Amino acid sequence: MRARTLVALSLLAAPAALADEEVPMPQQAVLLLKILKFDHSLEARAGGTATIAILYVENNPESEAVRVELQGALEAATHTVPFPIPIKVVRLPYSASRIDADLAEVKPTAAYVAPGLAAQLPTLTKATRKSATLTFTSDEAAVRAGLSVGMVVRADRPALLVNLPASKAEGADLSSDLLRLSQVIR
Amino acid sequence: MLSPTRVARWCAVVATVGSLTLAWPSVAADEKPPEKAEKEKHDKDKRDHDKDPAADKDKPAASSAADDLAQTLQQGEAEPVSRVMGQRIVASAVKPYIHGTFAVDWRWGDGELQIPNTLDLRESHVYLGAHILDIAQPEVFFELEKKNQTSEPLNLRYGQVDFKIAGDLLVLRAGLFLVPFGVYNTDLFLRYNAHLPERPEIHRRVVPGSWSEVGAQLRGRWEWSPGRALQYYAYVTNGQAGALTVDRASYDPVYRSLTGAKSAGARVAVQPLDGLVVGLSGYRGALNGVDGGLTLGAADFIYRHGPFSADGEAMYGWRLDPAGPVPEGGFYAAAGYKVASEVEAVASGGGFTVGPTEQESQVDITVGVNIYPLPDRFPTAVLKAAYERDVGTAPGNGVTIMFIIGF
Repeated sequence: MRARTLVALSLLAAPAALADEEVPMPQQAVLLLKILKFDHSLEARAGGTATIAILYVENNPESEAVRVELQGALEAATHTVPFPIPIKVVRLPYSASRIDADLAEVKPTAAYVAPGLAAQLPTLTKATRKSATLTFTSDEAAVRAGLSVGMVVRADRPALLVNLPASKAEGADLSSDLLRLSQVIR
Repeated sequence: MLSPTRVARWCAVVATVGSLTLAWPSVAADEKPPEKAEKEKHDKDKRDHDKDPAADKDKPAASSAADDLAQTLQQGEAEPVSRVMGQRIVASAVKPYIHGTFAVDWRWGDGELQIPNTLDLRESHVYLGAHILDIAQPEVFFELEKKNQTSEPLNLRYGQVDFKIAGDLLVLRAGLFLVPFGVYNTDLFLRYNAHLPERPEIHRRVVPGSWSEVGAQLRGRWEWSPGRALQYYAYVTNGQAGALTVDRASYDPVYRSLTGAKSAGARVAVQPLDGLVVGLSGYRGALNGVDGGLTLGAADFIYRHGPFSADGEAMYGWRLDPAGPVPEGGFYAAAGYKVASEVEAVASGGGFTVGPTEQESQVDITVGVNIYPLPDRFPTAVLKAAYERDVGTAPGNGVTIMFIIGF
């Protein structure tokens, strides 16, 4: 029985390890903007302009590639997705020693956390909560570890995963309409 | 009897069923699937709204936004992450493409054009490339065809990359590229673009067809008013190696220069009127490692006006043989008239010389008809039928019926 379970688990694990699917960046960009509109505190947190930061790791090819692709996609999405206030997209290379100061200076309303920052999440989430920055990612594990909104894959389709306590800690007040469409971690 | 295949199938079934069983409890107890979470939150919101009737006025807008978001999620699809050698790439920056031409034909000829009644895969050309951020464009051109029993089935005809230095005004091309000499190698190389099934003799006998060399090239196009443009090309290459026979200029590109000898050339083409392009080309080439082994100049034109079109080229120069310089060159002119959008009558005449003897010179005339089943469209298809008559000391007759698709 134990052997059968191991065989079953190994067969399960193999495709998961090989699977490398994600919600395409143009869709993530559109989703991010649309999701932000469900935050009742958006305008209070943003002031006059919603600044969206892309947090990434410099010289990390995976992180840099996501940053480049998402930045282009977000800039394109700002022309197609109606939004109540002006949007500014900035890139923010992560530095553990400067993250608090960087967030205080840029004052992002939202931040997309690119790959390569899993080990930095405790420091990072502490900083985003302090600066009231709602975090987004495509990494499900990162949402479970404390980021707020995940744009993840379920059955080959985009799905939303919301860490509700994390989003509240980051100053967001996400509406029930959004939560109805999301898998919610409470 | 349990075979290993059956065991593997049963394991897969167990794994599939097990995954459903195992996956359900893996959701944390405090984690609500969308519908359940929604119900609880919705009930709470309803209670809140009962307390505050003003909150209801935003509800239609919120509901519309929710429908929009739901639609975005529903219409979206996950995609594989693009990777090269395991490393993620910026997929949106690269727009890959594949194009090709395929030509099959039937030929017969006698005399100088002696060919037994034969069916042939004349061309199986594949072009692979990518547009990268509208700045760079690498492209390779593979010839996937066997010309005879012993020839290689795969040839790289060019592998080049273009870098836009100043838009279309200045482009750097590097690698193995078609030499921009004359109109044929520059603009009419694709078989469905040319009037006749066969390339002009000068592009088989005087210079190789396809004529490609390894080097670097600066090229560009300046349009000073609509329909009026100047095109310019300048290049340095490693030159060619091989031999010129009566039948064929069997030169190959020099992939790595052994002597340091280089070829250099330039071309200018101007479009002074709508539909007319005239060009001048010059080439001083390294042949078999000898500087100046082949020197050629050419003048050419293309004219297109309504149903009528014509193109032509004349080249002249000399190659260095041990006995001294040998003059060579030739010309061709081809014209077509579309009697209907699907039917074009074509005719061509040309001649060449690759040496001082009569056997090394030839004049040919060709007439034919082209049928376009998909007129003015791309992908395209052409059925070409042509009769060629070689005159001179070694006359001959040849017939070709060729079908070409380009995509």
